[in-house]
Amino acid sequence: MAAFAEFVSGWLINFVIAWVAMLLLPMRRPLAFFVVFNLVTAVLTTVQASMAAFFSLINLVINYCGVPVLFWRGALGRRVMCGLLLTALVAVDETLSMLVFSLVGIPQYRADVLSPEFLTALRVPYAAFLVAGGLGLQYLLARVGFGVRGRAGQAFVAFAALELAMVLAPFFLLFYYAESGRAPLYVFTGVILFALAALVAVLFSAERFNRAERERARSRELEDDLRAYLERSRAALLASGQVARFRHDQRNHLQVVASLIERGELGEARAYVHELTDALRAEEQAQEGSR
Amino acid sequence: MTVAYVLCAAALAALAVTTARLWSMLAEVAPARRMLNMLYPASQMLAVAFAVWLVGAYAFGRDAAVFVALLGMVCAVLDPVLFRSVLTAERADREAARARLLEEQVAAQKRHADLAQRGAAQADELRVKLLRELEGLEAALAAGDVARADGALAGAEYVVRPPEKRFCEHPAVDALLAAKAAQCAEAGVELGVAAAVPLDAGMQPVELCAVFANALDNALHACTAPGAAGVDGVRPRIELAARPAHGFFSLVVRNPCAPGAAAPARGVSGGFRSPLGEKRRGGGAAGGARADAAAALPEHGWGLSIIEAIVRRHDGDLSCTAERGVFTLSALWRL
Repeated sequence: MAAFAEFVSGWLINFVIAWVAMLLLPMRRPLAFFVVFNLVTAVLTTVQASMAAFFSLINLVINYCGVPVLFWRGALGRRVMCGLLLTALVAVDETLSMLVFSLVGIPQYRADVLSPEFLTALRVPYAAFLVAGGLGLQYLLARVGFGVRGRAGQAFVAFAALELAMVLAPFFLLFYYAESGRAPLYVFTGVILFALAALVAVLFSAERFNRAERERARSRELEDDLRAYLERSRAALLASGQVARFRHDQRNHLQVVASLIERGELGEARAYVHELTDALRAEEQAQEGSR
Repeated sequence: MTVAYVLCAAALAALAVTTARLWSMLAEVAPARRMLNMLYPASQMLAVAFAVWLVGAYAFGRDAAVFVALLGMVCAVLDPVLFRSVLTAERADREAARARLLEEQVAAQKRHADLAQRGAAQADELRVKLLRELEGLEAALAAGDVARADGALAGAEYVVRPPEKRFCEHPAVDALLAAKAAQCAEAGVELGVAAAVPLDAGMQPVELCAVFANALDNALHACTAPGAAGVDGVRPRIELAARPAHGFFSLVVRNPCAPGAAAPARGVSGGFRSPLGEKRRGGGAAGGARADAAAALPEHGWGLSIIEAIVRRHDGDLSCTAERGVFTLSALWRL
């Protein structure tokens, strides 16, 4: 019974990881994903115990990154980024588990010397961390909406992939040389948490990059609008310059009329005004003719 | 073993170089964000250092160390591409400030263009009105009615009265100054403008407006900031002077600033560092004075960085000083 519980709890962990994968991005065919995901794990667990560490690494890369990327919907860059984050989350969980194992003095991955009940109990905090981490990642991805395209997007994804590859290589070693002592594990915990922080920071940086690009595009559009308005203003100002000249001329004429009236030369003033009105009428007629 | 050490050392050296490059690229970024971005190369260096430590201390993982070192070198090659994107990302706030400013300018220019167009369309209306007044004047003169003639003359003079005063010849800057004058009036701030901006002020209108708008926005912000209001009920006043001189164009904006910056005892004078962290060039004051000025003038941030970028593109210079409670921004560029 205890052995069965241990077997089920082992698979439950796999189910939790699949569930977390489904949380991060919408899946194209959830059922097919679920089957393929568990099938890959089933195949990898049949290998010899001596190769367990290596196949665990393969499982991390293929199953937790590659398979979801194939089934997720959305831009490739976003899918790959999510796959890398999921892999990092599982790797951090594994590392923390190893750390706990080490702290309580349990030999690593020695299922043969640990009771099934104990192994089942150990998987509870492991699953809890996955759920919490998965929800955290879901929140992050909803908030930052990683979706940059082009070379800039590739640069962020390439950084995340290289970063993960650089920490997974020593991660594999720790599996393999688990008996070497606690110090490498302690240091590695710091290294992988640092890497996880860098991966999360890259998400935010990508989001800021998106915002900068959006604002830049908006500025370009606004600059075009501004140029158009300036052109319109310039044309209108040219026309209003003619109006200003007309006003200026007419004010001078009116000053002449005012002087004539002041001097009592009303006849002269009238003749002057008559000339003005004639000129205005002629202009008006010319305007109408040109329309 | 030696190969692993050599490769790891080479990878660490290469990553150190890229780290230094990123550090200098992010010179304009605030220190906290600059440090945060250092996470990227630091995490790569940490991974390489860990791998080499495993080899040295525990004598295992030589192949893994070689693998990590090679990845580290690949990172050193690819990091500059990432860093360019990081730099763009760090400019997001500045881009947003620029877009917001442009939005304001577009709104002001639209209003101005509408007004100018309306003014130009008034030509016919003006002629008709004037003709009507002159016909009345002519009739009054024919009747020998001087009083009526005076009235008709006054009416005609009103029709051809000079248009409202403009701030300057440059249409874009004129529109902008009109909009900013309205903003100042709304905020209870006096704006004194002495602008002689020709049509060719050495810059594209978009850039010219960005310089004027940012300078005035900063001044207005400082005037309306808590504790920066006019002393003893006196309204704060902004003075703007802009004119071409000896092949250069000079823009000077003065505004009252926070009391901390105004303390003459501290001798606050010279350049300062904006919230972005960009260094400003000024009167060559000591670093302490710069920090004081920056702390006292928190609002002079993005705007100044935008002005400085534009002015520098035009072979010019920007300097800011805070002395006796007056902040002075001086921008000078080649015509």
